[in-house]
Amino acid sequence: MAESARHGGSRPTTWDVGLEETLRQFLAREAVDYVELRLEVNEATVIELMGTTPQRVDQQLDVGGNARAVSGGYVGFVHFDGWNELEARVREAVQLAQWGRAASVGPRGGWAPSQVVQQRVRVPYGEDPRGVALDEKVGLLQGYADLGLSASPAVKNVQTRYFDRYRHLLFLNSRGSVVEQEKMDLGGSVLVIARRQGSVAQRGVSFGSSNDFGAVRGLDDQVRDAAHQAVLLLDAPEIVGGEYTVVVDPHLAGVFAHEAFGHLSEADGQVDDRGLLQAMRLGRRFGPKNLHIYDTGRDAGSRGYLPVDDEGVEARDIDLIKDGELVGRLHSCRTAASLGEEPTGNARALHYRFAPIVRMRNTVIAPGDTPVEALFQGIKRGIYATGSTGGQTNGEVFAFRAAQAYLIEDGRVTQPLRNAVLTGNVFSTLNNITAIGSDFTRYEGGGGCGKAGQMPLPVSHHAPSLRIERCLVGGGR
Amino acid sequence: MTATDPFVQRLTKPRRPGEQMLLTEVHREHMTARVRGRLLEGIDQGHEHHQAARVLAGGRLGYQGARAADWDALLEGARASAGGSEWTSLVLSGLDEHSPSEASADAVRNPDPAELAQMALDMGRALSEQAPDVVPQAQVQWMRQWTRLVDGDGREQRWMRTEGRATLSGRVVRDGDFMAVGANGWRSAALPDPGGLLDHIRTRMAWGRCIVPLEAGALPVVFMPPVGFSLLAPLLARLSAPAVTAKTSPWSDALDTVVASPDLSVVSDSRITDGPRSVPWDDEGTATRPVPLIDRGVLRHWVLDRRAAHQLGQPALGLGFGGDLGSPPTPRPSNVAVSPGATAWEDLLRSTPRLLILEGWVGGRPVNPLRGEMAGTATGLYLVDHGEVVGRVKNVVVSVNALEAWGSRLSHLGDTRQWVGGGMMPLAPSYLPPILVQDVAVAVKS
Repeated sequence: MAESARHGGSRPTTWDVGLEETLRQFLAREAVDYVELRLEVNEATVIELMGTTPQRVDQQLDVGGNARAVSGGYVGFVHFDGWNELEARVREAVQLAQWGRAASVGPRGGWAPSQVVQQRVRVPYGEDPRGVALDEKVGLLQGYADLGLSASPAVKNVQTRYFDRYRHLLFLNSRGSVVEQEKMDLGGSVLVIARRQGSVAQRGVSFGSSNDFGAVRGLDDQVRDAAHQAVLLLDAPEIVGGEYTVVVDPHLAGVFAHEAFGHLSEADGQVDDRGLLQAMRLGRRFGPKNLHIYDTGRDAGSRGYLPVDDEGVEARDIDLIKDGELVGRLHSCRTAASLGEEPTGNARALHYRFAPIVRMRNTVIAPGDTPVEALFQGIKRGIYATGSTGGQTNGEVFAFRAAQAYLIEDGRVTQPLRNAVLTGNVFSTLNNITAIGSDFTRYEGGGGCGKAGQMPLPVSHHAPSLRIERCLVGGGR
Repeated sequence: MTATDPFVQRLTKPRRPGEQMLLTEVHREHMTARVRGRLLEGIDQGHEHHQAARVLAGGRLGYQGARAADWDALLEGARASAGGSEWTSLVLSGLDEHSPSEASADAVRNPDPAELAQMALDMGRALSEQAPDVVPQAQVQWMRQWTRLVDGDGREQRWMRTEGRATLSGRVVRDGDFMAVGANGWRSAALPDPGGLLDHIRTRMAWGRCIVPLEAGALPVVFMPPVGFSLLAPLLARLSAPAVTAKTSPWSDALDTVVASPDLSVVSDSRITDGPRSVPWDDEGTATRPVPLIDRGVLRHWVLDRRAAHQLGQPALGLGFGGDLGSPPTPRPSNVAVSPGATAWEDLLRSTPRLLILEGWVGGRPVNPLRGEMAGTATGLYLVDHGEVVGRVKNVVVSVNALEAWGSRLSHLGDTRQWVGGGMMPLAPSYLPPILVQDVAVAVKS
């Protein structure tokens, strides 16, 4: 069995070999097209402070798993807490799949072949968060809260949140794959809230990593800046809604790639939908010649790092847009079979309570060659939007909220604005990108992606700044 | 319960001096049938067993939750997490005396997988027949959940609830235009009626066939229940801990003062029929009851869990709920019910010459909950001219201040209500009427 990285923590590094063999034999003899079993131990810590006062210091330990069976393309999925009666649980999944096949009137598609993978995946730790005492974590966050509160009399509160989640999984399938994988995800935010009379404003610092508690350290300057920005924003005018030329920073550009295009590339939304398949036909022009967007699970340290996905498929880089043309999409084994393509390593499950579905990992816009200053040139009246507090899409339309927005007048950033929601049509907005910055940045935040009730799934987006023409910005009147 | 029950045995062991505890055990069985197109996609089944220990040790509150864990380890974990928390004089124990009973939910029969799958298949087929160019997705779910709470003195509360859910949605993608509509329903002791979901989708499909132009400006907008909750969220943020306890809420000192239109009454209603959070006790073991939050525009109660209530010297009113299994209780309403108005749907549409119906949006969460500002891209937006829906409007951002919407700009409330809930970040299930708000800003992409 290959080992992809060394383990630096204190968890057991091997599973019972007898268990592996017993399960493999059991899975191989079931009379269905495909069966898989996942066993998982999940340890999480959550800390929340209000001001410097801990409001929540919780720990969670989950032990359980799931079984999934496929018969004629019909899926039976059973999840369970505890590791009791595993054979009965697998049999339940098999029965549900067989029952689904019998109940339906036509073929449902298949399950794409994937390579047999036998691998142990360890977390390539920087600083293992499980080696940091709870008191130290609380103290570090209290320090940030202190900094924010002392920055200005107008700062009335600081809300701080931290989480870390360690997952240790064993995956086996009837094709002979055995993957023992560790995953670490940590992140959080420091939200500074300023208030003066009836006016309230907030700014935050977000952090995240898949292997290093160091991401939580050294945020003093960012917290001070957030406090400063929150106070400035108290007197800022609201954005006047309308169409603008917009410059977005790398953080927001990454969210843009994720929301405006990434979700549309997830093949589970395309299967059986002739209209969408036509709209997403490979070879269609989707942006300027120098636009290159890809999804990768191989960037160690990023929250989207996923060397082997939750169907046992190894990660590779998947080009979605190359030279401005649509060239690929993201798949699970099921969607790959339906569209006659290959699995891409994008089947992910938040927890053993969920079946894997098609999700992004680290969505990347490759750097361009325009210096950041040049992105602003010639803009008579526009918006400079930085950071993000969230985004969403329905396929055709995307929307995201900028963490901070500024007015651009005659090519210069002049004043902060409140309440910036950027929105647009996915298909036309990508074509409205007129410049790609050279300032490629690996941003890692503490949020996550939500889909089909699975939230927050750790994802990353790395990107440069972008200039986009005719972007609709919502705000006041 | 027997003497060998490990859940109770835990309490017979000597506790540390002054230690209080509350143990929670939830067992949940559920099954879901999923259909896409006209075919069954799969059937999911879940066997969940969640345990949680809350411990007050030396005046510090700790929590550990687990799935399939040993109670001793769980208690030790809770004690360890207590070390990092603030000191409190909160009393954690003290469940009301109660004779455990599961009789009412025991009478409810579990549907079998065949029933769920057939209902989902029927829904998908019916929608396909009505709208052949739609790709239908149907999901039918049944859940049964047993909950037990035991405090450090061995007092116990135990109850069971069931829930049936159905979701039907459809999407048409044509020449780059996406039209998506969806509806969902639930009942506490049976599967919901799929007929209502089909009618809802058929109506929206008819409304949306024609795309009509709109000019930017300010128009009256009917916020339908699916988006009505986001309009309500800034109010709930203002009247709930932690904003109230931290004094960051402008309503921290506003009890018994006017905060909204006299037409607005909001109740945290734990007894409402078919309410997803209609339960006899909250997740902290406090007996629930209907709690008026805003009564005819006057702020009457805050949303406080035990700790927040203790901090403010208020009684705990059963408003401590976790978001889902594994989430510790935080201040949350049970079911949020907004009192209906007296305006029939047809009269609502005719109340002004021209208005918009907003049923869905992308990114429509508040941009600043405390200020009440919100903006989102409309996805289910229909133009009404003299009482008739004339078509669907696209490329519009709707911006509104929720506090103003519930204040001076609140025009009419419809006389029927609809359940809204679920989603990925639910605060509480809600029971809402259509809400007509005057003078809402709409920005339009040319």
